[in-house]
Amino acid sequence: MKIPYTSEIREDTGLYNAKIGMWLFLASEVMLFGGLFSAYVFLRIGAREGEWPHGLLNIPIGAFNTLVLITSSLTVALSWTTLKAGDFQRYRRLQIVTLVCAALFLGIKSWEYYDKFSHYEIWLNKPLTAKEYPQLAGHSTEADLPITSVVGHIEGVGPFETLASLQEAGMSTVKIHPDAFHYRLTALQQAERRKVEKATGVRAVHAETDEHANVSIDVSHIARMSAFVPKHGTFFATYFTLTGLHALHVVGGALAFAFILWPGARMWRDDPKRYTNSVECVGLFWHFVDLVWIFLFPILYLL
Amino acid sequence: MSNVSQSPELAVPSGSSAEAHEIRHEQKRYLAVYAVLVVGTVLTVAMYYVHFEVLWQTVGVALLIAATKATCVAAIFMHLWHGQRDIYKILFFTGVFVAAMLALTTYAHFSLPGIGHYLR
Repeated sequence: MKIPYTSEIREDTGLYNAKIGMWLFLASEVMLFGGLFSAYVFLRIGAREGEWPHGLLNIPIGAFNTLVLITSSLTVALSWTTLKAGDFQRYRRLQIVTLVCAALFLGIKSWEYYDKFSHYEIWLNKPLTAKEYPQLAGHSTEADLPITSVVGHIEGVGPFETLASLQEAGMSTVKIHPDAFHYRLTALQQAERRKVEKATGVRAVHAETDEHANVSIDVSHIARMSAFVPKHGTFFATYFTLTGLHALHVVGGALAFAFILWPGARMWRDDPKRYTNSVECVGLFWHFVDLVWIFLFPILYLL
Repeated sequence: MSNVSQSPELAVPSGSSAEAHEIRHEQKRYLAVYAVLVVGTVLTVAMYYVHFEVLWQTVGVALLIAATKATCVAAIFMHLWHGQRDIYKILFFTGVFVAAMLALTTYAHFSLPGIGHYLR
């Protein structure tokens, strides 16, 4: 049986059927992401002052990934027009760029994830002060306020470790390389602290390899410890759910493009119009995924 | 790899110059949208380093830029510009339901004690 209206336009809708189908699917996708966005809004507005993390995500890397994704959207849009002009080779070259962009985006995202999985917060049962530990100056607004939690990478500790696993391994102290700023300081407070640092020269940001920057913490003084994984708290639960679902969409879109680019390319010979339409439909999905990221980037990285 | 591209006689349109002109025009539009998206991204990042005093100013500007970028993508890349009535209908109802969902969650803050202080 022949599927109707795959390439010809249906008179009452003015569209070929797959396009309507794709838009209905995108409508359901809007509701899916809309639900998660509204969960984000609920949690973000509900967070008290100082509870929502600031400066935990790497903005230049997030911005670069945004550029990678919009570049892929451009190549998708252009590839469709080259197909309309009948230039299959040029379409194929453009779509290979799309797939490279998708792989680059996912690679960078994975690297970001790995960095979070091996980035820790340690809650102390014996508070420290920035006066005694100048390395922790960025973890408090005032030098003599007690610091109850420290964030950073731990020397020799990989991803997904817990307090229990450290105790099991028989570690008695951990050497943490503290972040320049504690995420509980707001963006404004961080800017203020940066000014103080500049004026007093007390602590510029230490290099990751700087031994003097480390703070040794007795394992018996640790009340709780968690990597930046979803169970760390509301922010990371939201972050991983939203970006994880988005990344799965990137994977799905890339697979669909790869399929029509190679095994599905036979259709170009049999029914070029229908083939061009299928590129348009997957393209619609791809642009939607790009559109979701356009909102995800500012709300997760910048607000 | 297949040899599909070796059959240029099957290339879609007749290749009339009017159509070729229209395609070139469309490609230029796409490049313009791309420029807007890149500038929008740069502005969004720049905004972070400006540090607005009030949180809602930051949120407002960030969402305004994001909405502008999203409109460009939807209108040009996703061809909504071409005005297809049935797609507008689908999107209209989607918009209504998303707005309702966001309104309900925001509304919930007013009925919960102790939270939602940003809105008060």
